[in-house]
Amino acid sequence: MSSSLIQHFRRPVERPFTAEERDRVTILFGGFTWKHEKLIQAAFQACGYHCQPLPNPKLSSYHLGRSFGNPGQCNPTYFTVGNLIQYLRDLEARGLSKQEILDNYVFFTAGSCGPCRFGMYESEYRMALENAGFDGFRVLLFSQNDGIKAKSGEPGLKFSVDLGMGAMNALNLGDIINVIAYNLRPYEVVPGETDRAITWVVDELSRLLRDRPVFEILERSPRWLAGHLARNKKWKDILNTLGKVREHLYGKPYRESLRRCRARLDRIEIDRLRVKPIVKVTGEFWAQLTEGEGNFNMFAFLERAGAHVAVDSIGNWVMYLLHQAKANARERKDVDASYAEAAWWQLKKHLWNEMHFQKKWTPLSLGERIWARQYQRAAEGLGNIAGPLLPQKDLARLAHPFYHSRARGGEGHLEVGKNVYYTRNHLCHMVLALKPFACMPSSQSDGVQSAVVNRFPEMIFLPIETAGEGEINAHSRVQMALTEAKAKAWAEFERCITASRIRAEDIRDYVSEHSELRNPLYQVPRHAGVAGVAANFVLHVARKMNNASRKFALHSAVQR
Amino acid sequence: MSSSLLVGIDVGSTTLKAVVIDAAQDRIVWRHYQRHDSRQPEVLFNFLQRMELEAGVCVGKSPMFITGSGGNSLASLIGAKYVQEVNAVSLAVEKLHPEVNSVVELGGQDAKIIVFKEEASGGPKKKIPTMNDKCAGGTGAVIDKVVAKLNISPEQLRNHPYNGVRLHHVAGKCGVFAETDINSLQKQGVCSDELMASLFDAIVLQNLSVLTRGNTLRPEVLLLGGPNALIRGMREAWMHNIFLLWKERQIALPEGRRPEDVIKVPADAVFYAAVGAVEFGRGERAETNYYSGKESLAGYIHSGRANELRNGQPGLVASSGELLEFKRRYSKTLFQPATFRSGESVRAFLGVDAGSTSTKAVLFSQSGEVLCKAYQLSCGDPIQDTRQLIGQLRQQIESRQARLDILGVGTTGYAKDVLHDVLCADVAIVETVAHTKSALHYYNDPHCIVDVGGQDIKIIMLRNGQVKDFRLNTQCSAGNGYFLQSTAQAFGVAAEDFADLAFSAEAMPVFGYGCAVFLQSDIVNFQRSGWRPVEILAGLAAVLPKNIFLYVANVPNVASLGTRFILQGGTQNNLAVVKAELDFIRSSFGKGQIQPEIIVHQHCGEAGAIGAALEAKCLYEKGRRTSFIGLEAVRNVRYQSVRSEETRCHFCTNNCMRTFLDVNVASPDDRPSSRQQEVGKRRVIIANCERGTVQDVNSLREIKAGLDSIRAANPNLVDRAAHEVWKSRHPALVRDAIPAPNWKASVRNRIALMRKRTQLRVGMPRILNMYIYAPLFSAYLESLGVPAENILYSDYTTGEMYRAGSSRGAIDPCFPSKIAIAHFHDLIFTKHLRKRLDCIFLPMFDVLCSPLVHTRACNACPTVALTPETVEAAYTKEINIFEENNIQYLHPLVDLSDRKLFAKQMFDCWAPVLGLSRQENQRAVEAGFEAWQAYERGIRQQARSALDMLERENRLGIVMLGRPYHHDPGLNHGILEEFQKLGYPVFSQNTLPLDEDLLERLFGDEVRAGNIAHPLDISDVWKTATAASSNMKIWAAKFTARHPNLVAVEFSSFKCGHDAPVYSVIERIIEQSGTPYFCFKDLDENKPVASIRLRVETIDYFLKAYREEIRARELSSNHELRGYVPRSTAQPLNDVNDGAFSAV
Repeated sequence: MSSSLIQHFRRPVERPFTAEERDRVTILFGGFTWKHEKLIQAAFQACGYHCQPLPNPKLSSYHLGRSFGNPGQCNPTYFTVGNLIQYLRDLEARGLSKQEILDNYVFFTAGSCGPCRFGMYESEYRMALENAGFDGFRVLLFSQNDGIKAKSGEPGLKFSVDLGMGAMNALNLGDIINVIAYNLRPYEVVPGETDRAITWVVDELSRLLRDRPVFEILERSPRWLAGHLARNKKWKDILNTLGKVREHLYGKPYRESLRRCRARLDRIEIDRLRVKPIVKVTGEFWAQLTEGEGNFNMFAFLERAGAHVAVDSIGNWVMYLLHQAKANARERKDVDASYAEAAWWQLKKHLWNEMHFQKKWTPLSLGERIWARQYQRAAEGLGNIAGPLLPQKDLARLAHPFYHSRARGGEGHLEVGKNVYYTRNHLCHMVLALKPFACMPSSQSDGVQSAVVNRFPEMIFLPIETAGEGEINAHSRVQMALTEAKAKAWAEFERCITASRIRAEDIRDYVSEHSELRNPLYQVPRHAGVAGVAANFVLHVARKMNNASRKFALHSAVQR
Repeated sequence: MSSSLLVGIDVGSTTLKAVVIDAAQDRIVWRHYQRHDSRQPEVLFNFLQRMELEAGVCVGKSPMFITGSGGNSLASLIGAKYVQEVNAVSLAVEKLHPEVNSVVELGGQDAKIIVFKEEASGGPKKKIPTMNDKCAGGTGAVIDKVVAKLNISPEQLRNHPYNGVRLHHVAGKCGVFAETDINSLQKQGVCSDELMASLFDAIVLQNLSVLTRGNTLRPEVLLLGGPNALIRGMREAWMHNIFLLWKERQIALPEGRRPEDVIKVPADAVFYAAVGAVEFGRGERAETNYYSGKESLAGYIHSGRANELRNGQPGLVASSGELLEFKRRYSKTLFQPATFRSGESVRAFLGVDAGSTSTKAVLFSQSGEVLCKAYQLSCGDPIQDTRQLIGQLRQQIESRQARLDILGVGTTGYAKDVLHDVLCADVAIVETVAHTKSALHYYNDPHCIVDVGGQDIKIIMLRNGQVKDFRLNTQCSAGNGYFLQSTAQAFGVAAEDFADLAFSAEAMPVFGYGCAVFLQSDIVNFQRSGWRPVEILAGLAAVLPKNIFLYVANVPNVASLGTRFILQGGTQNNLAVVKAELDFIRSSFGKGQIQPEIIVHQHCGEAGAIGAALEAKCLYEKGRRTSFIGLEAVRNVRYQSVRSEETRCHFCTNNCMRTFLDVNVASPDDRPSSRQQEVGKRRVIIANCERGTVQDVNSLREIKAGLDSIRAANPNLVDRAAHEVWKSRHPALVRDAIPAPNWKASVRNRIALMRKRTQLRVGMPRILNMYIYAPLFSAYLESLGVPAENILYSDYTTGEMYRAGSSRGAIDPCFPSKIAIAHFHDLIFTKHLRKRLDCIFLPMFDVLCSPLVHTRACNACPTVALTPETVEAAYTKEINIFEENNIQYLHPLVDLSDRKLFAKQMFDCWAPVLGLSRQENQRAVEAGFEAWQAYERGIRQQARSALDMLERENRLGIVMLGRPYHHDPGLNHGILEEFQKLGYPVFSQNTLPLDEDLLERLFGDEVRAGNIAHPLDISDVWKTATAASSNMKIWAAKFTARHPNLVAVEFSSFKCGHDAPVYSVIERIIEQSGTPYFCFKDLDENKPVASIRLRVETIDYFLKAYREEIRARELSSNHELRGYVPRSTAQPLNDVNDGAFSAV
């Protein structure tokens, strides 16, 4: 007799998502802004998938998630899984049976092998779903094989050039539109105009991503070549891939759509003379991105309280991952070298070591460049209102004296790096770090920030732990720092007015006479050491006014 | 001129303050301060009325500014401009006290610290404001809770001293932790003066270690806010601790000033926020806000508030019909005591339940009925409480000219042992057992007993009348029953009116379940959002079942517990709570055919006392005659409690404080013959351990000899590992020979560094993963020539160490990480001062080693990995303390899973210090790993011997499923030692043997069946295996589940992010095999002695029953192979006793 007679616990067998199910299964996902989600949905729909973003999670989702999950998780988990359970319950209430829900829906989420507990949340979602009565509901990871490459048969979700490029465009466009919305809204003359324009733009770009014609080399090439390529699969695939990439990034529909969006944005009238402190929001990925009760409605609150919110981009996170992969490759260079003990004159061995290293390094560098370039192109296409992605190398360098730049988990050194980068370069008046209560890496990051703040006297930094409850207390604490930031923004504005030697009223009069200055796409140059939109604008307008008066004086002198 | 009057209002969480300032003269012309008892709008209305009448404040003419936590929601109603409170306070301070550099303001729910720093470049001082987050720990709320508990009047509180009063360890981090500690100390007989002084000290320490974010409070310091302004002890505590800090950090005082003069409490400190709000208004650029009158506020009070409600849920009852039906079924008929005839001799068993918040007593007849009962809120002295209750019981009988004859006495509750000793009771049983006995006595085949008392929640699961499992709340959800009561009290609602008022609420706010401190914060937030007290009370009742089943029991599917639920405990007298539980339990069953039967115990408040009486009855029926001192003796018993330096125990290095209870039973009862030995003077000693229970050395020797033999028979591998890990393994020297000097500077430098190695002194903190990997690093250094005696470790974690060294902290992570700053303090300010240290080494563990296979990753926890960085921040932020002390701080990022990378990381770190060559570094790394493996082998061999012994003797051992740092006796609070003393050998997840034959026995069949690829594979139970310690915990759970002589006790520290996702899987692995599973979660800085004792005793009872069960099964089965018994095929326990637990 042995203990094998006991039926020991085993985790449930996971059911794959297969190709045969593709036509009837809806992929559920969430965790981004509505702008990102709508565009991602369109990219998936373009490839023939049924795809549905979950509604924005509410406080009730959090409570539901907590009821079914393990105690002590960080709140993004509760919000996410509670939201999913609520959605599935709603489906049930609409008449779908449990089995139909299990058969026809899957939830896709991101995975991780990092030290943060985020990597373990896939299991947590499954357990909460099981506790809520949806035992066997499929939770699949983008980064894992079981979901994407089904164990048996053709995978339900197949990565293709169209899907990959569509997703990249969706993420980049979502990022840029999100930044534009927060950059324009505080200065809009007609309340609500920015939101209306952004909705229009998202709809337009969703249509583009969903309805654009799919590039197929055989359809686009002349008949003689098509026949030739049809027989040569290798060349057909290579040319087809290149053609698809080109079409996604440089195709006419894409360019035309960006142009229409730019034109729509251009209709928003803005008043750049409103003095607003720029609050850079950093922190944990989900808490700093979500727009709603998951982070105490912080963005809306900040704007109501008179701030200009500088939101972060998913693109920065992608660039961080690539940068970290490069940094790790660099750290391992000597360790992995085939000829670690090569003497200085053994050039062949050094060359071999270098080649070995470059095999890892080059694709990562290339990936970095492509992503940054495409982001920048899209940003320019939409009027150049959103700034470029952050220089990861600088962030790591600035953070490293305080927070080891290769320490993993959560946002790693990013919180410290961004705080120093934005402060030192005068890109904001205050940094607000949002993180879930008891977030492990973020809490330690806060411990380090206490020394960072001491090193940079001009820094206004506030960490806020988000949780299900406590919104009023959190808002109060933000107001505490925001008052300082406002004073800082006003002092800067007044300094600029003084420096310009022109009265604020005169500047306002000048702006009212020059409509292009109220145009959102009008490019105001940044001045060194000046963060505020109004302060930079004043310096710029003053220069224009001085130039104009010099020209006028010159013209008068000539006439005299 | 009313237009020259500026109004500042401060709406705090407990009080409302207002000033009217004459703008021309810059003088306060009117001010008022009042507690608002959660009626902020009403009190504000009254203030406005008075301002208009008494100060001449005019509508539309007087600029008005409002601040405080409750100010924002009221601002628009009166036309005031809202000013954030910290900004308001700092403006007031800048105006009134420009010389001040630090401000500490304690409010009801908020704590704020503002540090003003002079910039090197000159100009205005930089302000660094901090404010507590959601958690109200370290604020006036904690004081309020404890004051209510200790029944201290406001006048007494004002004069409670701090200086010269003996301090005890109390956790100030959170109100619940503090309350738990206070409870515990109170039961040990500590007087309220000492309790309050300890609390003041804890609050100050908490704020210094977290809220200052590591900044030093430089002179001059201003103490503001109600608690600072009004409580003498609070001010003294601040002064004492700030002086200590200044002394330690060598902060110079302004010339000619004494320390006492530079920490000030201004006379009108409570009005500073209001004054600051006005100051803010003066500097405001936007349009001034003028007072718009009281009408909107009045409208809001009368009707508007209800319209504001957001995110609520329907009330506890949907209709009056539903309420009537519920009350018809669940309203209890008033208990009618038995009738006693004149001259009758009432023979009864006395049961006393001395709980945390109340004491209950019953008289139980020989035929098994409650004759009469008595209840009273605890006055903090259980003997006095019990005397009064016994007096009440006697009165009920003797008033009918009958005579009470006690046949047996049983005690239970927190004070059961003291009462047992003083009354010479026949038995003292643990509460869980008492409650189970009581439920089983009255109700047939209950499946789940839900006991909600003042402090504790107990859930006892049964099958076929036998206890199968239980859950007790950790300290973090403590205070639930009492919490409801004290909240009602704060709202001015009597406990007996709670339910009716709660039922009257048509809607209620949704509380997040969990910690009572968060509930407290939610209450304040909900009030600010406009919820009325009755609605909040309803919401609190509604959240209780979630706390019971989701937080304490962690059972989302209540239906899995069975279908017959017995609700008992004093809190179940509250029908609102019962209704909420009813709905919650029923919702789990859905609308299916099977519906739960939910019964409220007919004596729910006295269930524990009944259980104790039942146990006494049981003993009586078995022939035991009572040793009770007698009713008259109880009446006349005199006792004196002494807790002083003279009572301190010096039998070990802990030097614990003890309480001596000198009891004098002067008047024997009517039948003295059997009780003669109890008459006279006796000393009852309340101590933390057995050694403390005696006074003379001979008795101690006896006790020590007993303990030693128990320890020898029951090895505690956790304790052994915690001590052996720091011992030198004496590795062979692998250093290079010192090279011959030549012209190269690098060589000359290397020679110098190599020669210095023998003098190099390295400090390492005794924390976190060092509890496993210290041998690796010490051997690495020793093999390179650093003498073993030059490698110094900080002391083991103690409360004193934390108190002495934690004030540089800036965050509040888990305690194992937070304590690191104190360990560094010990190394720098104790070890280094005694004899210099050249460097302190604490690696940042990135990836750890693991014997497991097929895991996704082997990551260290990020909190642990990054602790060295937060330590560096703490010790370098103001001045670089390492540099100042000439100590080099080395904290390389290390990957232990990749030896080549690790060697590079160690080389990069140590080469500049030791003058290493790559080759000797490589050899030292190998020597380090060898030493570490030798340590691991050694400890696992010891574990194997212990396990073999268990198997031979067919006994039970305990596996501590906890992280390496739980080996630290200061972190595991000595819980494992308690188990050892009860006769259980103790293992830990990191000391379990990995011998092939053993693994083959436990996992061989599963490997052959293809369920797992290897005995050290956990992929069959856990997919997302990324965290090293969590993976190991899961594997150890599998090991325990498969070994018949082991049971699991899970340890987890408060805020442990890596433990939380595996809670359920650990429990499932263990419980599915039928193995008992217990847990101590939310371990933190404080040591809740009473709660630990309750758990340990309950677990002991449970395990004894479990052992009997196994023996019974062994006898009845034919299983022969090495004592393996399949647990899932368990038969019901042989009916060897009449109760579930009483197999013991």
